[in-house]
Amino acid sequence: MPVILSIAFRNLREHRLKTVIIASLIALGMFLLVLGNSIIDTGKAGIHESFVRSFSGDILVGPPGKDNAKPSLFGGGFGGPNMEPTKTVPDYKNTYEYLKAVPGVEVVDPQVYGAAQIELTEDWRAFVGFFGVDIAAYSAMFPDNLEILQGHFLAEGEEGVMIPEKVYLEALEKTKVDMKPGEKIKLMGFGGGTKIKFLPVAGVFRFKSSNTALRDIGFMDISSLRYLQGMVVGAVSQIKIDDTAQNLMDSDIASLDSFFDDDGVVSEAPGTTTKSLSQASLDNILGDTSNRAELVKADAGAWHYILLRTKDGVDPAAVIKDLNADFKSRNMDLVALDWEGAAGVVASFVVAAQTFFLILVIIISIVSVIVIMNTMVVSIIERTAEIGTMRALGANKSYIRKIFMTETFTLSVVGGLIGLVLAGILLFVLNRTGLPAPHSLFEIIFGGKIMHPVLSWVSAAQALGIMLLVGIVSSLYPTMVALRIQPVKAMQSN
Amino acid sequence: MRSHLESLEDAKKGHIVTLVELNDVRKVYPLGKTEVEAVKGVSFCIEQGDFVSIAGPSGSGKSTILNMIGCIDVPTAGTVTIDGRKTGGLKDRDITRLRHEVIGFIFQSFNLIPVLDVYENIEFPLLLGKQKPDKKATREWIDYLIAEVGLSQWRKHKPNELSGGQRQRVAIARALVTKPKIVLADEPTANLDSKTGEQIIELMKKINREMDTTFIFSTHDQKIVTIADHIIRLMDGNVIENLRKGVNADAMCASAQAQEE
Repeated sequence: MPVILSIAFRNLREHRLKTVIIASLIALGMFLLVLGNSIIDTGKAGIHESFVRSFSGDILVGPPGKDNAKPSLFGGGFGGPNMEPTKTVPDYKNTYEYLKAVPGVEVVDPQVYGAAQIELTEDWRAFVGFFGVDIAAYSAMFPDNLEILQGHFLAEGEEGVMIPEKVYLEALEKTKVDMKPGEKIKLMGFGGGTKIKFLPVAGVFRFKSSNTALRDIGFMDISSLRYLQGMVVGAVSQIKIDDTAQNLMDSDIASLDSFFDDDGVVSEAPGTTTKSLSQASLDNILGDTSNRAELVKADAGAWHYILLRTKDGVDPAAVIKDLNADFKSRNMDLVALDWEGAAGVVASFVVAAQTFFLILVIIISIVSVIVIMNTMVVSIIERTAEIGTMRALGANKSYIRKIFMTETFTLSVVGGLIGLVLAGILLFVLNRTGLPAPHSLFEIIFGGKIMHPVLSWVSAAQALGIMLLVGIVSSLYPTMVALRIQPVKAMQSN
Repeated sequence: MRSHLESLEDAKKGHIVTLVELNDVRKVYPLGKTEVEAVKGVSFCIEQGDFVSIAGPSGSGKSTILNMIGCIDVPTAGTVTIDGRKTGGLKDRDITRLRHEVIGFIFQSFNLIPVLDVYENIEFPLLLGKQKPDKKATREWIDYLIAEVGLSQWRKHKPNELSGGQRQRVAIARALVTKPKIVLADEPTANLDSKTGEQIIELMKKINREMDTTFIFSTHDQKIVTIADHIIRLMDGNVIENLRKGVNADAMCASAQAQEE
């Protein structure tokens, strides 16, 4: 074994206390890094999986909001009233057809998101987010993401709401009102002024994904949701008004009065025909919902965004890149985002957790660097005579540097591996037993109430790199101190 | 720089070779806001094969002069020439090489590397050289040195398992391992009892005779001083006596005198 390694290893053994302190610190840092990163990565993978499969698909395409804000599954807000009107997809019909034709795209699903207040009693109100969907497209996009607990999922053209289980149970507990299927409930929307609508409950459901962030979100038929959101409903936008009718609407009250006076268009004996009123004729007139069904079809008009699912083997990132380039070249007011962008605030919880963790890592690293540095400086002061002797005997500075670098590198690798093994063991145990979220905020980061974290090898490699860096950085100053020791110190060590 | 063998050849032919030359050397140390002049214009020469004692009381400048001869300190003024090379102005790398090739050190506190055993401590200076030493020859040479200093049974022992005298013997072997022209010993007997101290000096003298290695040691022990054949006495940073083989040796080097004659 080269003498440098021999001296370095034996010195580590000789100065056990120093070795234990530094290796423990590096092991602790490594342990926390690997554990934290693995938990965050597992959470992120869980959120990714649940979002892509249940909520966002692979890609979200929508118009940018105010100040170029990215569109999101939850419009301009989440979990509360959406006071800022969310822009709708421009030139929807053509955009829809264009996206359907994009190579690699398998399913296209337009959606609207809006919040409405359910008011069951005077004292109990709850803001609930609702997805308004094209039933056929939504079913194609997410064929198996819901668990219907009562009733049924909204049928095409059916007016009503799907109540999320959490809201249903809370309401039942607080008000004893059972929002069972068929019950009509009062909903208030605030888009473009307060609007009230009574809608029947079609069913009670929960998402199969255990993502806590989306337990408050229900479904509403698209027409009602557009109405409550103050969006231009397809039925209105499609009415063609001719010039005569427009002039009539623009006319003032006096002229309207004259319109209905004796000399006006209404004759004393209008030419009416009388028909007997029967159940069959009433059903014929009122039961025909074909017009309404026509108006709520996907190509009817206003949608907040369109979700895309890519074919197997197609990289969504590549499709997003192509789409954004194409939107730009065609001057289309649209952007394409991945699931993370689509998740908006929910993904930002993970980003916040990662940022918090990063700050923690920086603090740990700084503390480790300081403690390691101090320990090493003390050790070098103790070894002044030894270093001075080596210099006097003919060792140049690079030789001394190599000894200390070897010591630091060995400590970092050994400490790092110990930390990695300990973190691996704990992660293995947690994977088996499950790690319960200690707080509802953690449920978002965890992607559910219980997490089964897995060791992230990428994180482990990164952590080892960080720990090596910590080791090297913390040895820079002590090595500098060692290099400053002159051979004359060997003579002065009496 | 002449090789040790060339110097030996010169010595055998009766030529006097000057290895160390100090010319009006001064050394000033800062001490707080004041300065202390440890060496005040010292000049002397040391010849090849001499067994030199630099004697004087504490604070007389012995260690400072020894440090300057050992190239581990530089003079504030004047010149120090070692084996024909002026040490002032040499780069750290060059002066390190000069130390490694020309000078061996014996320290008062032995200064062995604690984590290496006797054999490894002696071998250590050889491993600092640019050329990889021949393994067999190295082993034989180190074994010879270990036998020479009487530590054959202790070759695998660590310094902390040895007595003071044994440690100093290891240090002597280590100082000789690179076959230096000069061995510097800073009060080599200071941490030893008088009997062991005498044995160490006897050992150094024996090696000096056998290998023609120049030994320069500092001491304030009068008994040891008398063993030297060249005595330089110091007082308050000045040379007060310079006797080489019983004859007064002035500032002019013996080699120069020989040439003049």
